[in-house]
Amino acid sequence: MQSNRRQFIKTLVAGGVALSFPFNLKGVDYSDHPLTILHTNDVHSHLDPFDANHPKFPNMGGFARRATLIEKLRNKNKHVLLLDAGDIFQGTPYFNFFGGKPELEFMSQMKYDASTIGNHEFDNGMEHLAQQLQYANFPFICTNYDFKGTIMEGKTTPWKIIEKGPYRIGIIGIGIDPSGLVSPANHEGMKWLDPVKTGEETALFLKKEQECNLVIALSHLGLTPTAERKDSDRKLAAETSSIDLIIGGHSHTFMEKPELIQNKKGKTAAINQVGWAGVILGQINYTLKKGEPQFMAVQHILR
Amino acid sequence: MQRHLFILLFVVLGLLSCQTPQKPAFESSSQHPLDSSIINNPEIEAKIAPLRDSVEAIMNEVIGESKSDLFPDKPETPLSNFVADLLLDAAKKEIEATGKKPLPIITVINVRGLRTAIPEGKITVEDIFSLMPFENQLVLLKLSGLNVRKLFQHMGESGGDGLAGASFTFSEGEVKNAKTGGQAIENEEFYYVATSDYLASGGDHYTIFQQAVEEYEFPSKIRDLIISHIRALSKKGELIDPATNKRIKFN
Repeated sequence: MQSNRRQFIKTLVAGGVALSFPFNLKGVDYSDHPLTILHTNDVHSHLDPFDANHPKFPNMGGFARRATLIEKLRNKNKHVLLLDAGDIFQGTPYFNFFGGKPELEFMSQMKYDASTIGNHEFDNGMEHLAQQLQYANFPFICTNYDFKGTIMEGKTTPWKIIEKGPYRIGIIGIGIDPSGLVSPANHEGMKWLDPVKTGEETALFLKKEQECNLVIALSHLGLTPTAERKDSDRKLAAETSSIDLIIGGHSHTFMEKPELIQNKKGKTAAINQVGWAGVILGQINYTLKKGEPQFMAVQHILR
Repeated sequence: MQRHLFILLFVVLGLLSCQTPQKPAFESSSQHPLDSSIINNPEIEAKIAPLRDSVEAIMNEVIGESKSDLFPDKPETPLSNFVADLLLDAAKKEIEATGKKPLPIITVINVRGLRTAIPEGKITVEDIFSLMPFENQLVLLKLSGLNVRKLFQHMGESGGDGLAGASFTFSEGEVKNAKTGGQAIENEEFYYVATSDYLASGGDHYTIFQQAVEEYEFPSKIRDLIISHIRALSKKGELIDPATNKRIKFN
């Protein structure tokens, strides 16, 4: 009994020392573990760069270039997350002729971690969308689109957790109200749930129950509200408590840097969006803040 | 000794396990413009190339010529007249071919569904894809005259849209003088309305189409009908030169 306990303690202490050895005891140092989030939105089937005489984006964009850039950034950075905020489909004849298959195949090849469904993903109907999703090897995250009872049932996931080093990242996907935007026949049977309420519930669940230390929303609401639609990324950021970052889309907004918004708990939520057509790849960097060791708990155990 | 070991153990474990959780913090951001300084990924470029070739072969074909620049604007423009008129002709032919009951026929299109201007000069297939990127079908609806008036009411309230085969005045928020083929539209009579499946299913708030007593879907896409109409004009040596009259009068 006595020797058993001694043996047990020896093992624990040895284990403890072994575990603690690589770390600085003043706080685990993860400063060499930055998280790099790369993102696109509203690429709209722009497989090729714009023409050289395009008035706004001459010779900009293109999937083949994006693949090169992503590969380069993957080689340079330790933990890379690659995300898209929807409207992959529609905008060039490639979509008319090939129905979105090349877009999804190339994104799979670039190893996208996740995307969400934008309003234009419905353009050729849900049957077409369900069919095309077979070409994507990354998940489509839809938290407030309930496809139950439709052909899209089971083709999307309401949330997804991705671990990159010390980061446990919960991802949600927030879709825009399709009424007046998507042909009613093309979203028949799909239930659109309130983005703020559903987003908050799921984000909270990911933080509290799933112990994520970062929650990202892929949102296709658009940065600002419109006359017809009150929901927006700004509203989503301000009226929730557990979303750290919104990767936005739909409004085709070229944001020079992320907008920081105080959420309902007074914490900062960031929103970023990189225009459209894949002319820019966005990058957001996170680091881990060092925490100070807490001795209170140790004293409690000793008592 | 044992007690010391215990304390050491708890201190070590405490240091390891009881630190505040590491919180990710936003640090910085940057943007990467996708410009020509970035070389193509050869594997993806090799996959796009054949797609590009086949698309270009189709898209670069010149199918006709436009006499002037044509713009898609509210309430209605020569461009919306052009598309609405050609769809009216196509619908009439289809009705004849299928032996449907002949009724007065009207065409309605949404101006916002015409996505770009048509330039003066040579027109390619690509121009028409830009004008009409969506895969919309033409559908035929049978509506009562009363519901046609309600349809016009919505068109008036929403600032106009493309119309063919009919005309009306929108004055003080009311539809007046609604006519088709020179005849007043009667509440009790029935009429055909040809439109896109998008509007027919209630798109752009055209919910009145849900009141249709009959619906028939044409086999043709609207874009294909536009392309074949322009080809037919070219065959006759004619330019794209649409009617400039106003079908909706706003007073």
